[in-house]
Amino acid sequence: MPIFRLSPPFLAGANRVTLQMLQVLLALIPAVIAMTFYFGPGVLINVTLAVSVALITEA
Amino acid sequence: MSAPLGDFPGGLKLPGHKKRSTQGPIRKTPISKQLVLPLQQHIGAAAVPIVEVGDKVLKGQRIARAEGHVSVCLHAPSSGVITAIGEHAIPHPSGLSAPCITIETDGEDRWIDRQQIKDFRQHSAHELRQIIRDAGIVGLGGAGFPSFIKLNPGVHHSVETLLINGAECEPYISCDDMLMRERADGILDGVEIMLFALRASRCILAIEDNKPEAIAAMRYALSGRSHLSQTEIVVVPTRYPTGGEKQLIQVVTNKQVPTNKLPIDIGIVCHNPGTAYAVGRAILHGEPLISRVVTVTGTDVPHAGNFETLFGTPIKDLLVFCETRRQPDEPFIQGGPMMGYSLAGDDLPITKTANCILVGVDDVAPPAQPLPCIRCGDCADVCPASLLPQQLYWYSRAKDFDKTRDYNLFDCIECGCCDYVCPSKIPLVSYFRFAKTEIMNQERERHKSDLARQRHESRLERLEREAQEKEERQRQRKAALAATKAAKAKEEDSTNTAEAADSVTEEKA
Amino acid sequence: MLTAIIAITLLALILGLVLGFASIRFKVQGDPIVDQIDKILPQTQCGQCSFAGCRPYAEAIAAGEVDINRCPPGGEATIQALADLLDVEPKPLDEECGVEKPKMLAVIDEARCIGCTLCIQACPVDAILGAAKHMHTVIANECTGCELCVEPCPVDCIDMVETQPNPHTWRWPDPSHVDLQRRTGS
Repeated sequence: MPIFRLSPPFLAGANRVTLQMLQVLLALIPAVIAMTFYFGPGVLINVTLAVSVALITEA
Repeated sequence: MSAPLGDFPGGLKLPGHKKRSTQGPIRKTPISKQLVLPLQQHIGAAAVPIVEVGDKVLKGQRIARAEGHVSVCLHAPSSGVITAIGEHAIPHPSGLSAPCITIETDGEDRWIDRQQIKDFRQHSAHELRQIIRDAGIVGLGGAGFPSFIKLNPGVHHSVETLLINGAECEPYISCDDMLMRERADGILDGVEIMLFALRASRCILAIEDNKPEAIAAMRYALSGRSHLSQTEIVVVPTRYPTGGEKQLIQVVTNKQVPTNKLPIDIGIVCHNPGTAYAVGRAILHGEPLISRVVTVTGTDVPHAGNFETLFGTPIKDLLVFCETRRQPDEPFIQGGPMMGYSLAGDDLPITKTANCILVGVDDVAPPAQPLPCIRCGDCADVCPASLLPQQLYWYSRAKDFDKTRDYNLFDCIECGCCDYVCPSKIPLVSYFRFAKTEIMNQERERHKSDLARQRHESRLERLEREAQEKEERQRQRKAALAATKAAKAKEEDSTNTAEAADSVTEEKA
Repeated sequence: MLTAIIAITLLALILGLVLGFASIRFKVQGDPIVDQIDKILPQTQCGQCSFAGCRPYAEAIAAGEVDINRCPPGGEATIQALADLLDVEPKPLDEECGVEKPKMLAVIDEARCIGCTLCIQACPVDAILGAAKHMHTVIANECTGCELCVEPCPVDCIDMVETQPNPHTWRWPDPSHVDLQRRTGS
């Protein structure tokens, strides 16, 4: 493959922001499960609310 | 004897892609019609031409002399006629031109008389260093620092260990590997001379474990030299950037080179196997440095391999010789894919520091606009110098260069590990290189303005002194004038009085 | 009551003595702020700030007589550095003084030079070499690009040329301003 970048390094690893963020979400799943277990389903409402607000303000 | 190996922080495991260029033996590149030799192929002052246009030169004849201490000579790589001395494009990331000597070869390749030294131990270390300097030998690993300086222990240091850096950690490059496989004896010749010049007590040959053939060849060559008992071969794990001087020292000796210090400060001198080979050729065979082994490889090179190439050979000729599928104007890389730089021009010569020409890579960095930094910290994890690339990035971007210095920007070896792992694809190394050259430029400007201030002040002083002297002269002249006037007046006066007296006497009479 | 007064008086006396001693012992020669300002100025000695050189301008800044934005050769960087040093707001360059230009270098067309020495007298840093009735030349390394030699030349043989970067002084471009990608095809 001819190179695209004109400055070194010309190689790039497979790391992407999307991948990193998916990892973060994965790591949060046990926490959410545990919280739901201890504090009831209200936690899920909380999470949904937070996520939707974040999405709306970001977009 | 073998102490446990050390380790350096960070680093990467990169796919090697070295097999591509190690399938065949080192081949000789045919002599090109025209050889273009930049006067500066090393760190330090450019060499000064000692030939003129139209001169006939022989292979190995000196065509430029070293200027100042940090400089080396330059030699004609083949016999022919000097056709031009002037600006020519050079392989440099800037794409700029620099003074070069152009030789039109005659194809005879006739050598000049070579002064061979059979027993170098009859000579002093100083004499050997002079020969090495006159042979134009520089570090062939890529930086191109004059080797004779690094073979001088000096009065303040004593060198314990000579480290031959055969790690060659960057992907694709295999010129040191092939040299060790095929010319192990020649390398050991050079090592013996280097040990003698440095008065070092031991030598370590460090080779990465992905080069079993080179290790075997060096071991075999070493077993034939019983007097080299202080030399050992150390196999180091394959990891990028083990071949960085400071990193390799950390792996092999478990010692760290302090910031702003050189390896010699902790008793270690590091040389490339190619340099050792060149030293051996220069002393034992009287051959100056006129060629080197260049790896030509990449996805667009079907007949990749290593080529013993004369300096000044146009890269174009070399690529044609390897039958590359390169499109016209397609940029190629000189050096490795991590630390090399891209070149675009066709008309560039091979120089002393050209270890690899790379046309097309496998895991190419895709075209992508950098995203904002998410502060994941991956860059700090892989940094072999334990720096904080994201902090350096913020400050370089904000052009807060004092801060980048506080964060030890100049310890960055520009290995590109941080860049490689960055999920946002931020060109971190480009920022660091930018900041480094900006800082160096500031220093240059400051130096220049200090000089200008001094010159201005001494000029003002001189003007004042001249004005004073002028005034003084005028005063003296005035005084002299006044004096003569007074004298004249007095004379007149006395004649007057005499006349008066005369008249008085006359009257009296 | 009395003890307090005596104690305070004694304390004042002793501290006063210490202060008096310090002011003599650690007396600062000259005005260091002038030196600091002078250090920031580019030392072209061009006089575009209407002062006869960088030092007089530095003195005037230190005395608070003029603004910090009167140095075209230094440009924005110098104004920023001065603002940082003196803790004032940076201002755009005063256009009365000139505009920021790339670094220049005076070059004498040696064929036309008549050897009048006028430029030698004008050069603030003695960067022109020559004698009466002999050709003059500019020592490129010492030239600050102040253009003061251009005006006095009676035969107009001095040209200001932009300094060309060479591989030694070349700088890597700022990655936030240049495209590091190769524009491929189409």
